Amino acid sequence: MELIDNLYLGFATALSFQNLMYCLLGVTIGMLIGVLPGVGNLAAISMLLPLTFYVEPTTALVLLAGIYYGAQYGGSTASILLNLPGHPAAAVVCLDGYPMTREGRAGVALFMTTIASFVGSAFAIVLLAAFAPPLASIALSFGAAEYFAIMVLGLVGASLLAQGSPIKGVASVIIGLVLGLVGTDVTTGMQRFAFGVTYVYDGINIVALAMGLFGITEVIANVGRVDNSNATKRITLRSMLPTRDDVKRSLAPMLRGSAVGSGVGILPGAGVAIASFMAYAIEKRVARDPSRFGKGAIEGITAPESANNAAAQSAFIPTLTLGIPGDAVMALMLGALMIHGIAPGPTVISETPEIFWGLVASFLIGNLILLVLNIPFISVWVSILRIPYTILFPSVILFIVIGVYSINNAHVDVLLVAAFGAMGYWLYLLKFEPAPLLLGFILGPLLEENFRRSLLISRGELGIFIERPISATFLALTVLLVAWTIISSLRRRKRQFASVEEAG
Amino acid sequence: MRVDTREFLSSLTTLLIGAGVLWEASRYSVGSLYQMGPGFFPTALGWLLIGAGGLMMVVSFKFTTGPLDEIRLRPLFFVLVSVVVFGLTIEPYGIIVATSLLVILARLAQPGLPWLGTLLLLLVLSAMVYVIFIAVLGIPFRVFPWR
Repeated sequence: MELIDNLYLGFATALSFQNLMYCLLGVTIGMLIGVLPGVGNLAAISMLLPLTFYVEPTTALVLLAGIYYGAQYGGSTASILLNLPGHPAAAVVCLDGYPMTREGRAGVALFMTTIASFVGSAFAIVLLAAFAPPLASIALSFGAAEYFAIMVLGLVGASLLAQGSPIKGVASVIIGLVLGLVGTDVTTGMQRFAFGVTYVYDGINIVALAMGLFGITEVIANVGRVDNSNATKRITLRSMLPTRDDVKRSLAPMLRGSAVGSGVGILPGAGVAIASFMAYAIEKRVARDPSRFGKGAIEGITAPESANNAAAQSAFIPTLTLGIPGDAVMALMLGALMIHGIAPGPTVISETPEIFWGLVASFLIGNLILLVLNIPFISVWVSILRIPYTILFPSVILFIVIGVYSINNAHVDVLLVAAFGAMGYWLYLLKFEPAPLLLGFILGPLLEENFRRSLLISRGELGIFIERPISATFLALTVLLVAWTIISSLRRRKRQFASVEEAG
Repeated sequence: MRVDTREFLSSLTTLLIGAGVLWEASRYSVGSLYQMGPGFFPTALGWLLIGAGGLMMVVSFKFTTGPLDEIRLRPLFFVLVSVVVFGLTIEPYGIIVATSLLVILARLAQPGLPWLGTLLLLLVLSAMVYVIFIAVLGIPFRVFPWR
């Protein structure tokens, strides 16, 4: 059996001492930044990116992925105990998690979200192992036109499905594409948007961009606002035991959440936050008694938790099969692969099976570690939750700048972080989403290259994009997505308008 | 006529970036669809930004998305200055001095934090940086001004 051989290879890779240690390190850091309100996983991943330059690419991805899905587990802790989401995807867990804490059922909530997280992850890992390899072999036949079309769908999806205004999402993506232009043009060797600064001839440092945009902006926006001083709850193991009713009520929601989350995670640009919101909305709709929601309904925490963990895992499907990242974190993962000289795309699974199967196995191991970290060691995380933000934020800034500096020992990179931090804060004030920008930045050079190549093949005929069936399908999906966004936002506006007129 | 401040500023920002991109892109040759020059893609992006900015301008006169948040000048200033000062001091004075200055400046971002706490944090973080990056990872940073 090929699958058994592959899994054997995967576990042999993931269980090597170094990979096991990095997996443990990754999920622990992920838990930590997930638990701490005001510290995002993108900032943490970009902080640790430089550390991965010195290890094998598989090890690097094991570490970075561990932070990503570890944070999904940790995010709900602060939501439940403090009514303060550790990261955006956990915001919806506040709705029913915090009421459970006030009823004195915080332990049960923490236990059930951990189980739900595990179920969601396991569900999506099976999907990843089952569907990624066949998908990748289909993608092997893709040419430049297909790639261009998929990337257009990915970028348009990222900008329209992100929270906030769709036009601003589009503008964010384009600003990202422009930043991606900076440096040497691969086709002609010409310097573009470099303004004679030799330092940027290789392009803008992605870590400096990500840390400025996410890390520094986050700190500026959160200083003096994050208050976790009232977190003094003690959680005993006994208080974590759920009742039979809790378990019975949670089974179906966990499975529904896993399915919804896996689906949303595969979509380009949708992200884990949307997955958990959708799962919550669905539970509320199918519930016999929707009025229980918001007052400590256990389905209201288990379904979204399964969904965001499933989405975090299934997001790897497009990333590893097509080389097209669904969100900004996946974009950084691809950045890490490229730094190691591996071209992301459908050949990753066939040419470097140890990376793909090693990752799949490490996801399983990492999720098992997270179960242990979350259930017997929960009191450790509860006490970490009490670290005041006034101590945390100077430390975060420090680790950001040291991380950036250590990449090239270039102090210019540090100054660039400040510049992107300022830009990021301005965009934050205007409510431009930073995630589509980073996605545009990563995909920009690939998008341009495939566009040029397609038209070189077709001798300048734009028809190539609609004559080839696969690229035509993706472009048609893009058009549908745009049309749907326009219609739904017009409807919303009309309703808003009507209610304003009624009120006025 | 009322205009929404946030949407209006967003539109201006987008239009300005678009204009800047077009201006710089005009120095590169555009070429044809068959053989694109280095200017083709940037020019297209510039026009897309102008289009998006224009659309936002229309929106800003029609709809309101609520008031603009206050610009948090104090954290903005001190956080950015702490980063810049770190960048400027790490090479001439070493990582311990740079770390200390960063912690002092960053803590000023929130008013009224006790100086004793800043001093303790500075000592703990300097020790951590020394142990993690110099002793364990062995990254070749300059440590002190004299080394």
